[in-house]
Amino acid sequence: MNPAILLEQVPDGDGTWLMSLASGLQYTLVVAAFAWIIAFVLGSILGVMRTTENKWAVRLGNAYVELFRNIPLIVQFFVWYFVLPGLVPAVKAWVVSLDPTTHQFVTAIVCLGLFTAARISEQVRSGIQALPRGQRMAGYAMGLTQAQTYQYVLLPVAYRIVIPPMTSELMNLIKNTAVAFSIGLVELFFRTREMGELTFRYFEAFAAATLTYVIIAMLANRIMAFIERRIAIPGFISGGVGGGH
Amino acid sequence: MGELDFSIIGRTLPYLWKGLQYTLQLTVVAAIGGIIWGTLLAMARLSSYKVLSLAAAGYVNLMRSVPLLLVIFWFYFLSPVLLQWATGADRPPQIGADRSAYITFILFEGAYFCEIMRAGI
Repeated sequence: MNPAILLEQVPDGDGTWLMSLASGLQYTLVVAAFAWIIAFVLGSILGVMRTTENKWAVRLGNAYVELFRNIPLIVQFFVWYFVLPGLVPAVKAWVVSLDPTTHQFVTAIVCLGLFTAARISEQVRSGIQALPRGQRMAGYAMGLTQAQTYQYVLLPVAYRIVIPPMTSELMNLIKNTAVAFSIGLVELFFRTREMGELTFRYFEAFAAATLTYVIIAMLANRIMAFIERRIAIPGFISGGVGGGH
Repeated sequence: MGELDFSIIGRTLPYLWKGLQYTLQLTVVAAIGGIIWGTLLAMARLSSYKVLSLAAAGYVNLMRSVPLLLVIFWFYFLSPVLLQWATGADRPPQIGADRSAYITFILFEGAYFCEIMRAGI
């Protein structure tokens, strides 16, 4: 074990292995950030749909969740990357006009975003359903529309309840970006493997990656715990008693 | 890309079936092994021996914050090296992808089952 390998130059590259891993980390974080935005927005919409009284909205939301949760992530990556352009000529035309790196980057964001949306929708749904039925009734009784009831009564509390499971989902998302190596995205795991293969210093490479992933996970956990404390409603549910899990 | 040729599925079905069998085997072994290992970990985490509970907590947190792919590679590439170092053999012992996968999944799933067990206890 000799961490000095990290400061050695990459063959055919213009930097050290540390820089190479750092550029991989950048991809990991940027992909995770964009995918989280897609996942959060779409997951919230689907989660809300599944708690409405509209039977078809519920069915559509359920079907989406079943579909995306029951197919292994790596299969989804291959479908988006290889199968979709083959099936839809318009996508194919667009994809071949792209730089391969951009193609992998966009695919990873879309794939992880849609995959994580299914999981977030489960959390949002369970958060809304955890609220007493009376809350919804009270909203309607006050003359709020369904949309207003969600906006002012149900969602503000539901989101606060589901922050701990959302933290887990965020951490899962960051870890799942590693699967994007299978379509060639040069994220942290790809760089780690590359370093192992080219230097035969697997131990150092994997130790560096493991340490990095642990630090990111801890940071994500702390940041979410901070948000949880900041937006807690005093004296309500877990209000004031923030912290991770 | 040319037209789709779904007859390929029929021709490769026996081959895919083999893969599915391995998937199911791995799932069953990982579930059973993971539950046993996870239960032991949960008991360690809740034990009054500080060292034991800290070690278990560290293990679980480490496993939970690292991608599964990374763990798979850790075991596949590094367990022969570690075993060689531990036993003092001249050559790294052969572990093989299948045994390595079983061990990896049990150790990885154990960490997740530990959290479930701990919540249950």
